[in-house]
Amino acid sequence: MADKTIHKTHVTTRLNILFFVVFLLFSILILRLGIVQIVQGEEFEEQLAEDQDISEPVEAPRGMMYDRYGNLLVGNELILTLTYTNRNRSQEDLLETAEKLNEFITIDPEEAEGRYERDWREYWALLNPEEFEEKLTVAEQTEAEISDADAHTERIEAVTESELASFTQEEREVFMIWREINRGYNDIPHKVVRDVTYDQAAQIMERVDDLPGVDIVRDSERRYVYGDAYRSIFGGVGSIARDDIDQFLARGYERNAEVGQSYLEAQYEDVLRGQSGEIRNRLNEDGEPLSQPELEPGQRGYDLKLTFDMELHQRVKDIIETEVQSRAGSFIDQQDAYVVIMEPDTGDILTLAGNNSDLGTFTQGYVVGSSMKGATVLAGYDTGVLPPGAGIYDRPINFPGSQPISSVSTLGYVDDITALERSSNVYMVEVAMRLVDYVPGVSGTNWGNYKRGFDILRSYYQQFGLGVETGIDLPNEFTGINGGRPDYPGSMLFLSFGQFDTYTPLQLAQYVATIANDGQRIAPRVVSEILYPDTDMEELGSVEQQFKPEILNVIDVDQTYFDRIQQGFYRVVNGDRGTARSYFDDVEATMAGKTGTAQVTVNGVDGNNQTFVGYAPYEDPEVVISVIVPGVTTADGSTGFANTIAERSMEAYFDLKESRNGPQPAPEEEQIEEETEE
Amino acid sequence: MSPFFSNRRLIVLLVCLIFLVGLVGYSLNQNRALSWPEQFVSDAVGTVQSVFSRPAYWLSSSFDGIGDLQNLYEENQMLKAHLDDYASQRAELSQLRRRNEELEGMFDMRDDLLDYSAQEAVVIHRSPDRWNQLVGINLGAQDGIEEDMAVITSQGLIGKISRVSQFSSSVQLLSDQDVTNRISAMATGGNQSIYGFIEGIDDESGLLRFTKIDVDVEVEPGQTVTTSGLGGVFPDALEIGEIVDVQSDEFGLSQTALVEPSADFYHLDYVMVIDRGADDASAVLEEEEE
Repeated sequence: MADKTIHKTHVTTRLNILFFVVFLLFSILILRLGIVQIVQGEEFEEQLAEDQDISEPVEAPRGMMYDRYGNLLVGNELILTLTYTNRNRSQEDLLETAEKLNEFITIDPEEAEGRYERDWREYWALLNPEEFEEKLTVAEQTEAEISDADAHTERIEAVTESELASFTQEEREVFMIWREINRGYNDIPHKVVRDVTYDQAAQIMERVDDLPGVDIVRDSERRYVYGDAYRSIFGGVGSIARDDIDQFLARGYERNAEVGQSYLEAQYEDVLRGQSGEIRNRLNEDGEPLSQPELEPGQRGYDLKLTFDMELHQRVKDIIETEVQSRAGSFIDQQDAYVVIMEPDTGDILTLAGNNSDLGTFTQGYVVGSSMKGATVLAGYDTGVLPPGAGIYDRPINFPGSQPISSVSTLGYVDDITALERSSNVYMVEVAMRLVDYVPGVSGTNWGNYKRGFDILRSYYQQFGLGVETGIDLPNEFTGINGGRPDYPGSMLFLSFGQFDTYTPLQLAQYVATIANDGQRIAPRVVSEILYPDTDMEELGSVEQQFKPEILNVIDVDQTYFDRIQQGFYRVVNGDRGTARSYFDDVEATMAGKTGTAQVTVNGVDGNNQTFVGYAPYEDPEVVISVIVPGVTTADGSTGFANTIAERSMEAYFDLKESRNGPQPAPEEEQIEEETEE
Repeated sequence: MSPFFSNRRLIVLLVCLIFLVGLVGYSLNQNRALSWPEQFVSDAVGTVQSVFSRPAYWLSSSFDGIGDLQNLYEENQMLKAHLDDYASQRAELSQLRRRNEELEGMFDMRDDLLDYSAQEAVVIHRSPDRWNQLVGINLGAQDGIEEDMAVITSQGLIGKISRVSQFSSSVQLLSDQDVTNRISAMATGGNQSIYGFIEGIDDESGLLRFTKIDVDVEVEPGQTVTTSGLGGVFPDALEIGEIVDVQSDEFGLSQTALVEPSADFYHLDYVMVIDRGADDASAVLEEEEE
C-alpha cells in the first residue's frame, strides 16, 4: 500500500514539474509577444511610414563634345524650367494653380485651336459645375440607372459648340496651363514650360508656397559654341519619337526625356546620356513635404573627344566659301564643294566640310573620274594582266558600235607610273580589257564573259573602301551607287577610270589613305575618346575609354606594288608632266596625289566633276585629303577648281602645325558677351 | 507538496498573464475612444486633481508674474537705449529720403518698387523647437501687416511674414528648411549682375544656398547678395548676406554659392517690416487672389 502511494506521488511530482515547465515556456512566449507589440510596435510603425518616401528623378544634362585640341564644341546651357508634380490633387486644385500660374507665365492658346476637343469639354465642365450638372441631373441619372462614369461621359457630350466657343482669351490661356499640368504622372515632375525667363522664374519662385506642386528647376539646353559649324554632324536632341517610346522606356528613360535624334547625338546616345539624380521627399498624408528633400546627385553624361580640328575646319570652310564665291559662274547648278581631311594611320577625321552641308561628305555620291585610278593599277598588278613596270601604247581605241576611248591626248608609250602621272585612260581600259581577255581590233564585238570584269574590278576597289561602307562611326552613311553589270560592255571600261560607279568624298579619302598606308584600310572615326564628365569646367575630364584605330582589311600584295603607285602619285604633283604639277608649290611638305575629272551631264548641260586626292608628306604620310567639286562647266576658267581648294587646304593644315590661335567663336556668341559686359 | 504548484492555479495564473498583456496592448492603442471604465476612472481622478492643482497653479503663476515684472524692467532699459539709436537713424533716414525725393523728382522717376516704408516691431516669442523657423512679432493686421511682407533688421533681411493675427504675426525666417522658402536674389560683381535664387540651407555649413547661377559668370567670395526685387514679393536691394564659398553643381551646369547671412538670426529683438507701395506687383496679385 505505502509502496503504491510513494509511486503515485512520484508520478504526480514529475507531472507537476512538466506542467510548470510548460507554464514557464508559455509565459516567455506571451512576454515576448508583449515586447514586440507594445514596446517595439511604435518603432516598426515608424519604419513603415519612412518607406512611403517618394522620390522623383532629377534629369541630368548630356555629355559635352570637345575637338581634338580640347576646344569645347557642344556644351550645355543652364535654362530654368517650370515643372508641376501632381500628388493626387483634385481638378479644382489644379485649376486654381493654373489660374495663378497664368498671372506669371502664358502659353499661347493658338496651338490648341480646333484641337483637344475632349479636354476643352472637360475644362468647360470644370469652369461651370452647376450648368454641367444640369445637363443630366442626378435624379435623371438615378432614374435611368446609369453609372457615374457613364453619366459624366453623357454630360460631357451634351456640352454644346456655342458653350465651347464662349471661353474668354484668359480662360483659353488658363486652359493651356491646366491641360499641361494634367499631362504629368503622379509624383513625377512634368515639364510645363521650358526655358522660362529669369523674371518669370523669380515671380513664381517667391510664391511657391501658394502654388502647390509647382517648382522651378535647373534644366539644360545644347549650346553650340561655334554656331552652325558641324551642327548637322552633331545631330539633334529632342523628345522621344512616338514609335521608339517603348524601346526607350525599356532602357529606363522617362517618358518626357530628351534623347539624341540624329548623327553623333544618336550614335553615342548611351555615352552622352546623363545619369538622373533623385530627390527623396518625405511627405505626410496630405502630400506636404515634411523636411528638406534629400538629393542623390546624378551625373552628366560622359563627354566625347572628337577627332575634329575646329580651327582647321573653319579655315577650310572659309577656303571653300571664298573659292566658290569667286568662281560662282563655274557651276552649272548647285554650288557644291566637299573636302575631307583625315589622318591615314589612325583614321582620325580632321574635317568634313561641304559648301552647303557637311553631311554630304559621306551621304552624297559622285562619279569621281581619274582620281581612283590607283585602285585599277593595283588590280592590274595583282591579277598579273599588267605587272609593275609593264607599259602600253596610249592611243584612241575604237570599239565596234560604240565611241572610241582615249586619254586627254594621245600619250604614246606609258608605263604604270607615267599612266598615273599623266592620267592615262587607255592604260586603265587595257587592264579592264585584259581581265576579260578582250583584244581590241581582234575580238570585235565578241566580249565573251565580260561581266566578271565588273566583279574583279569592284573586288579591288572595295578593298580601298570604294563602293562599301567606310566604317565611320556615324549613321546613314551612303556607299555610293553601284551601277550593277549592265548589258553594255563599254560601262565596264568606264568603271576602270572612274566614270561609272559613284563614290562619296569620304570613300575617296579612305582610298587614298589606304594607298598612303601601304594597303591598310583604316576605319575613319570622329570620336577618339570618351571622357569622364568633370564638373570643373576649366579642364577636360580623365580618359574613360580610348578607341583604337580599327584596321578593316589589309591589301596583301608585294610592297613594291604600293611603292610604284605612290611614285605615280608623287609624279602627279612633282613630275615634269604631272597633271597637278602647277599646284602645291607653297605647301610645307612634299605632296603626292591624283587629280580627276569626270564627265557628267547636269540639267542637260555637259559638265565635269572635279576631284583631287592626295597625301603629305610623301615620305611619311601624316595627312590625306580628298576634294570633290561636282557639276562645274567645261569652260577653261573652271579648270583646277578642286586642285586649288586642295592646295589651299593643305597650306592651312601645315600653317596650323606651326602656330595655332584657336578657333573663332560664333559671331552671335561674341555679341552676347559684349552686351553683358557693357 | 506545495499548494502553489497546483495545476489549477498555474492555469489561472497563465490566463491572468495573457489578459494583462492584452490589456496593456489595448490601452496603449491611442486611436480609439475611451471605454466607459476608463472614462469613469479618468473623470473621477480629474475632479479630485483639479481641487488641488488650481490653487497651486494660481500661486505659481503669480510668482512668475513678479519674475516677469523684473524682466520687463530690464527690457525697458534696453528699449530706451535702442530708442536713442533710432532717433539718430530716423533723422538720417528722413534726410536721405528727402534727398532721394529731390533726385527722383529731378529724374521724373515714377513711384517704383524702391519706395517702401518700414514699421518697427519687437520680437515677442520664439519657441526653442522651431528656433530656426519662426519668430513672433508684436504687429498684426491692425497695424497694416500683411502676409509675405519682408522683414529685416538693420543688418539685413531675415525673412517674411507668414501668418498674421490681429495684434501679432509670425515671421518665417530665411533659416527655415521649408522647401517653399525662396527668394529671387542677385549679387553684384565687377560690373555685371549675377542672378540666382536663395533656396534653403546647406546641411553641413548651415549657410544659405544661393543657387542656379549661370556657370559662365564669375562669382567670388566677398560679393554681397541682395534681393533682386524681380519676384514681386520682396522689394529690391535688401541685403541678404555675403558669399563665402562657390561650388559647381554636380552636372557642371550651374554654380551654387554659400551665403553667410548679414543679419544675426540668434539675437533677434527688434526688426522692421517692410511695406511695399500699394501699386506694386504683389499688391496686384493679392487683389486678384481675393
